[in-house]
Parts: sequence; C-alpha cells; structure tokens
Amino acid sequence: MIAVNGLRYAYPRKTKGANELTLKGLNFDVEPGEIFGFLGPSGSGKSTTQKLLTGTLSGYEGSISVKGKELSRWDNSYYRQIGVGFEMPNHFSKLTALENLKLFASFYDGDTLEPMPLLEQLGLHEHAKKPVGAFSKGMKMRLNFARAIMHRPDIVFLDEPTAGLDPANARKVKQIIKSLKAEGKTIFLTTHNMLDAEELCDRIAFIVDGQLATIGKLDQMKRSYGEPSVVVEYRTDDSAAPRKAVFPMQSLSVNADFQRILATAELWSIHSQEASVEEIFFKATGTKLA
Amino acid sequence: MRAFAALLRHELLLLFRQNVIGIAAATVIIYAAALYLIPRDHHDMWVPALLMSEIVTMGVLFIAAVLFIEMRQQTAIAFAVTPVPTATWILAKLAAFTILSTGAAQALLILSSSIPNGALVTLTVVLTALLYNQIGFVLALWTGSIRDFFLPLSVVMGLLALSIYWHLGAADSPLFWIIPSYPAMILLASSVSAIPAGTLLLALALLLLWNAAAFWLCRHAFHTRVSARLGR
Repeated sequence: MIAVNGLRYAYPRKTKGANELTLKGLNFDVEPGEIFGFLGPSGSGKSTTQKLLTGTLSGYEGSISVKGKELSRWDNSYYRQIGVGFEMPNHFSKLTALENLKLFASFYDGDTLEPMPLLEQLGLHEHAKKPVGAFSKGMKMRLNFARAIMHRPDIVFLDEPTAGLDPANARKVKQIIKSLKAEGKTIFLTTHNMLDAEELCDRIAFIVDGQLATIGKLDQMKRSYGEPSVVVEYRTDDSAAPRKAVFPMQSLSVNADFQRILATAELWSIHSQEASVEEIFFKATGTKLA
Repeated sequence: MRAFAALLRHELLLLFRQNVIGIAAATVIIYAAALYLIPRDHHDMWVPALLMSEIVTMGVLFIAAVLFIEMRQQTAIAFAVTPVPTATWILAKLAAFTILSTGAAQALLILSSSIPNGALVTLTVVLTALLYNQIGFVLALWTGSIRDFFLPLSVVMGLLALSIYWHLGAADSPLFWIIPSYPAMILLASSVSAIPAGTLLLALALLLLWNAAAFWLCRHAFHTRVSARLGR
C-alpha cells in the first residue's frame, strides 16, 4: 500500500540548520489492511515522515509510493484516498463540532459518514452543537479523529490519536481504529505511546535520529529482544514480607531454585512476563522512547 | 465549484461569528461621519480618497486579523489535506472579504451620492478590494504574527497612500504608475473628473495585472509559510 525507499529530507535552511538531514534514508513498506506503528522519541523524525507521506511537506529525496504510484505524481485526488489525524487539534473554534465536520464533508464527492452517529461513537453527540472553542483538548482530539475518517479513506494517518484522552475515550478511539482495520483500511499510526502500539499495531518501526532502528512484528521483536520470564511472589516461614524472584521461561521445569520455591514457600502469585515495547525499543536503539 | 461555494458560505459564516461584519459596520459609520463633516462642494475631491482609504483599511487589516486567528488555530493545514486545491480555499477567503469590503464601499457611495455609482466605479471597487485583501493575506502569512506585522504594514500602507496624495494634489510622479494603488485611484477619480480613455484602459489593465500578481503571491505565501512550517 505504501512503499518508502531511501527517503531523505532536510528542512529548508531558514527553518533548521543548513543541510541537516531530518530523515537519513528510510526504507519500509506498509501492507494493505495493516496497522503500522511508527514509534520514536520526540525529534526523531516520525512526524516529518508522516507529513511527507501525507504530502503536506514536499522536496524529499528517494521514493514514496502509495497504491503503486509515486507520491509526486498524485494530484489532489490523493486526499480522497487518505485521511489525516493531526497531532494537535485544528478546528474553527467559532463553529460547532457539527459545522466543522459538515464543512469538511462537503469537500468529498462520494459517500461520507453521517456526522452525528460518528460523533456519538466518539462520545461527542451531546456537544455536537456547541462551539469547538468551548471543547477540552480531549474533545478536540476526538473531533480531529472524526474528521480524519469521515470520508471513508483507504489509508488513515494518525498522529498520537489518543493524546489528551481519558482512558474511556481512548478506548473508544482504539475500538474504532480496530474496526477500520477489520474493514480492510490501512492505518499508519505515529505515536510514542507504547500501550497503544502494543494493543493496536500489527507491525512496528522504530525511528531514532532520522533512521530506522528496527522494523517487524511485535511478537517477533519480543522473541528477538526480550527473554520471556516468570515472576514469582512468595513468602517463606522466616520472612514476614513477600519476596519476588524472576526465572527465565526456558527450562523452567528443571530450574532448581524455582522448584525449591514451589516446594517450600508460600506462593502469592506467579506471572509470565515478556518484554514490553519500551524495553524492546531500548534494546534495539539504546535510547528511551519517551 | 461545489467546494468553492461551500468554502464561501463557510467564510461568510465565520465573518459573522467572528463579529467581523459588526466591526465593518462600525467602520462604515466612522467613514460616514467623516463624510458628513466634509462640505458638500468638496465631496468630488474627498469621496474617492475616503473610499480608497476605507477599502485599504478593511482590505488589509480585516483579512490579516482573521488569518492570525486561523494561524493560531492551525486550520489552514486541515484544508491542505483535503481534495480542495489551495487556490480554491484562497479564492473563497478573498471573495468573502471582497464582498465585505465592496459592501462597505457601496454603503459609503450611497451615502455620498456625489460619485455616480456606475459600472466602472463598482468594478474598480471590487478589483481594488480584491487587491488589498490579497496584500493583507500575503503580509499576514509572511509576517506570521501580529507583533511582526505592523512594521511591514506601515511601509506598505505608506507606499499605497501615495496615490491618495496624488489625488488630493499633494504629490505627483511618473513613478507612481508602479504603485499598485495608483491605477485604482485613477479609476475612482475618473468618476468625478475627466480622464483620457487610454489612461483609463491602462489603469484597468494594470489593476488586473496587480491582482493576478498578488494572487500568485498569495499561493506562494501559503506554500512557503503554511506548508513549509508544518514539520517544526
């Protein structure tokens, strides 16, 4: 669906240091119908990549192909194919949520989603006729999301879609993202929220300092970068406070210490544990994600 | 065309919601008061100058003020990811503000009753309002903030005011032909004093050319000042 090869980009001299490359040769593909997570710390180039893919920044080197066609050869019809959810809310504050959505819906020829049911799905229906200026950041972010998907695009670019949302509303947004995937839509998710990435993404790419550190399926990364383990909480006769021990999952059945605890101690809990996205990121890049 | 109509409706609604129409009405009242203070036998001299001044003020300042609000809200970039071409968005915005400026100028013309409100005057008012709205658009995008706006504004306004001085007989130079406001002033003045047909045609052609150049600058300013700033 999206193929990026040798993507290099430097901001114009006035806006950043002369010839300083923000992206230093990215190569990746996004498959149709997958949720592709693009993770990296602030300033790593993830938002710049998204802005190049959405055509809002131009002047890149290398190749960006979307639906088999080089991005530079697409005309404005490209924006019927894609939806973009920006990192920061950008709405007309003097217009209501409904007016904002209806305005943008009027730019598309085909069927667009009905604004009210969409607002209802996002918990905004009761505020549909209120000026957006009176909205909280979380409400504006949900409206951003609604605008991005309203015209039923095949590819949705989302930049930190759950930023500023409470857990209940973040769950609503993630549920809609999952349903979009079920409909066969392709999602490009830019985030530094590990939980979102872990819950939503089929594949993940890590970007650091304008370069891709690693890319792949999350479960494969967990196997490559993390060692599954078992965490045991227990108490022995001579200790009042519970103790914790961590054992490698592999050869657990012949681990003498683990067997001794099972045989002699009072067990409080046993949990399996695998590497988190944050740990994988640290191991893969040597850098912290946040 | 459908997108343009939707955008124009949207821009007019915003003018109302942002109270720009109310401020425009207040501006007309101020200019009407100034007109009332001018003796009737001086109207031929002063009405075209007042008209030009009103169009300049509303054209440059109003659109710039609204653009500063929109830049803060980052709404322009939301349009950049829709199938609507940038030119359509710019045209709709300019059209809405030109309607506003033209309406205000027409109100002043009706109140003055000394300038015949003919087709040429109306055309001149529309083209002049369009030109100044484009100047305001470009200045607002180039400067990016109210703080940086006023110095370039004062330079530009000073330059554009030279044509009013010419009309009032305070200054004259062949170089005035290169000032964008000069052909507009000639056309407005033609309604109260006889001007050769060749001069009128040249003025009209220049005004059209300035509008075309200003529209190119508007698009350029959008691409360099809105799109290019995105990645930061």
